[in-house]
Amino acid sequence: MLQTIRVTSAILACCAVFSGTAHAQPVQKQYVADFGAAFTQATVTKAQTGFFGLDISTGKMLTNNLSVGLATGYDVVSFQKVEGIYQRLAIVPILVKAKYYLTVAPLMQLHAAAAGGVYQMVPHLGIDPVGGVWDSKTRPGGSAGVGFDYWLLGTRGISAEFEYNFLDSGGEDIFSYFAMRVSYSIIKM
Amino acid sequence: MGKSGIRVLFVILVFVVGLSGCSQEGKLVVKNDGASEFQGTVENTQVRIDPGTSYTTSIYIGKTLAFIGPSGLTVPIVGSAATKRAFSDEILITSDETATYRIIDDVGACNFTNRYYLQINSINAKMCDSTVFGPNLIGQSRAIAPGTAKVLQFDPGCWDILVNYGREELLDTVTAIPIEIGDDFDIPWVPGYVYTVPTPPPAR
Repeated sequence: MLQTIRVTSAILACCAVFSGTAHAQPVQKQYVADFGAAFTQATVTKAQTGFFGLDISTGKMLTNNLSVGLATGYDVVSFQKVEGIYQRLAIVPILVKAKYYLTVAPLMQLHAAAAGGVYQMVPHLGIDPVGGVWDSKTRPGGSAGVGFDYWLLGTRGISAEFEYNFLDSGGEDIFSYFAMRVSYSIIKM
Repeated sequence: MGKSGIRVLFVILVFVVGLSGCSQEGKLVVKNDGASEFQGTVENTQVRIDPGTSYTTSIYIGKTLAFIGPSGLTVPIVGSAATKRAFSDEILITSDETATYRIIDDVGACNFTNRYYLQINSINAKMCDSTVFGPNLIGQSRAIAPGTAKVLQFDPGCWDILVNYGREELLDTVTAIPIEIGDDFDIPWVPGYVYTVPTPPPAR
């Protein structure tokens, strides 16, 4: 009897892992909205310690695993207080974002994301440009990320994501920054 | 909290610290190997470096994450010295390494002092074997007032100097001035001044 229970449990676990979609996770034709808060850090010349980012993204599930949507936010990627003045470089990404979800347990998914679009630079800097960025401008770029989603309460979830953004700053090098993000997710029919 | 919990926390801590970005720094040494004081800017900081001495500073390069991010930074060095023409150069600073920039003389310098009671209107120079004087070395409307001086820079060789002072027709020449790179000498000029090569002190 014990052996039967073990085999049955193993089969159920395998079904859950490899089923592609389990209950309480977004499925085809549903919409998913993510509201995230992140630590954002530029990885370029003269970048100071990063700060805080707020992001929002929405996507439509084209299949049970793939969603496509829009993402934007406000990421402060370099921040320094100098003589009472907050010198900072903020970036506003406006991206088309695709996410591929991989179910690993009934309430848990991993995801990989890729995005492309434009980035609006919003600098408030002193004498040193950060990554060659000195003035406000809009530049093309993209991002790639991986994350973990935990779905609870049927249509609600939380996720953690690591995302790297690359953009053409118009300067000598590619401008890059990363975001470590925690998000609250909502599934809409 | 059990041992496994502590391990998980440790891994998370290492992960977070690693992801927070590593600061990259290098060191820059600007060494004045010339014969005169250097004045200029190093990464936008005003500096004066005496002959034979150095200026050392840490250069903050930026933030990296693993292999992504800057490994070096190009730092501008701008300035001049009496025996070094005005220049603008760059040096690459790499993380955790010391880069040395040497300032080397490229001209000879003459500290030309007006010891006469009339102002000097212009100074022109030519090589000793040339017949034509070159352009005004002190620029338009930059007369040398009595008692003041002007540093003139010369390429190595033998030079003649033509001085116009007071009125337009008042001219004087100082001839056969041998100049080598790194020379830094005075000419206390009055009309009729004759330059004599200073004799080195006797060896003991």
